Amino acid sequence: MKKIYKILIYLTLFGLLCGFGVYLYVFHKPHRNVGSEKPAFTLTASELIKEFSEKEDVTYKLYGDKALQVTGKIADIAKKGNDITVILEDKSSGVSCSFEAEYFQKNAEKINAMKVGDDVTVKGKCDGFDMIMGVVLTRCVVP
Amino acid sequence: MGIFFCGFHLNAQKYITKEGNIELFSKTPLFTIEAVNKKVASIVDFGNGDVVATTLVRSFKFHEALVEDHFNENYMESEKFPKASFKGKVINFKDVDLKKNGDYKITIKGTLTMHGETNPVDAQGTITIKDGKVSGKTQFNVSLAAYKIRVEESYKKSINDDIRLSITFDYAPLAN
Repeated sequence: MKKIYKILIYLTLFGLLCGFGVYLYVFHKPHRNVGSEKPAFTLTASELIKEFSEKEDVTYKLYGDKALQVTGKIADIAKKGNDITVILEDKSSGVSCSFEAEYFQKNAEKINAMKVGDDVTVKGKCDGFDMIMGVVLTRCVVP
Repeated sequence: MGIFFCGFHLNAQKYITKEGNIELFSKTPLFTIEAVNKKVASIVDFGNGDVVATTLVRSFKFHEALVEDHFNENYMESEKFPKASFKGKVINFKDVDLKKNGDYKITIKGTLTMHGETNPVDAQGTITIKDGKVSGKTQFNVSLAAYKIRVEESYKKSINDDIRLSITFDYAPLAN
């Protein structure tokens, strides 16, 4: 085969590979795995609630979208199908940690074992603070 | 008589959820954008029709991580505007009989605040009463432009200005 054709074929293949790589990144970039992230901050649920209650804007700038490792006593557990939310410290306005259905299915034993009154450590992404829900952590895991 | 009732009382008219659901949907020939938020709070008072709903914008979850990042960083600017909230009234709250099972058609009027903008909302919905359980459903569209959400020129054909929100709340009585 003429050399020029060989070069063109290799270039096309290379271009296709790059294109495929871009496609994978755009459409299949994996979600942040909060479970494998080193937490940006480690603190107690009480501390976290206090900081948000006293200086909400500053605290949101610090913790918003970050992985937080939080320790506290379970005040309530809410189950809606495979969506589980564990509320720490304060039943009405504590730290709300939601586990994704996928995570629950792979860790059902660990999560079902949680009882109101237990001291637990959870890690999750901080979405912010809400008057009714308290501090909201999502994509939670039990580290 | 008035003093007798002043102590502890369960307000049988107020209901709350912290596990409300909002689905966001937009479809064009080029893209289908879908997101689910399962951390929506709402309180409804059947005594006067008042209804509020609040959520954190970051609680919207997209299938694609890049779309979720783009949504938060470029469209909603979640860093600056972390919350979305609705405040309004179930206009015909008196039509709902909390003690009688059934589907009740309702009209909701209020204002929605997100991305720093507030706009009126006028929607139809249904309250379902089943054996003492109260659930509410509604669906309405929001205009991106009305909330000053800036879509890049190159994406304008891929993303509708109108985004459909489908809301489901399964309420429980709120103890006062």
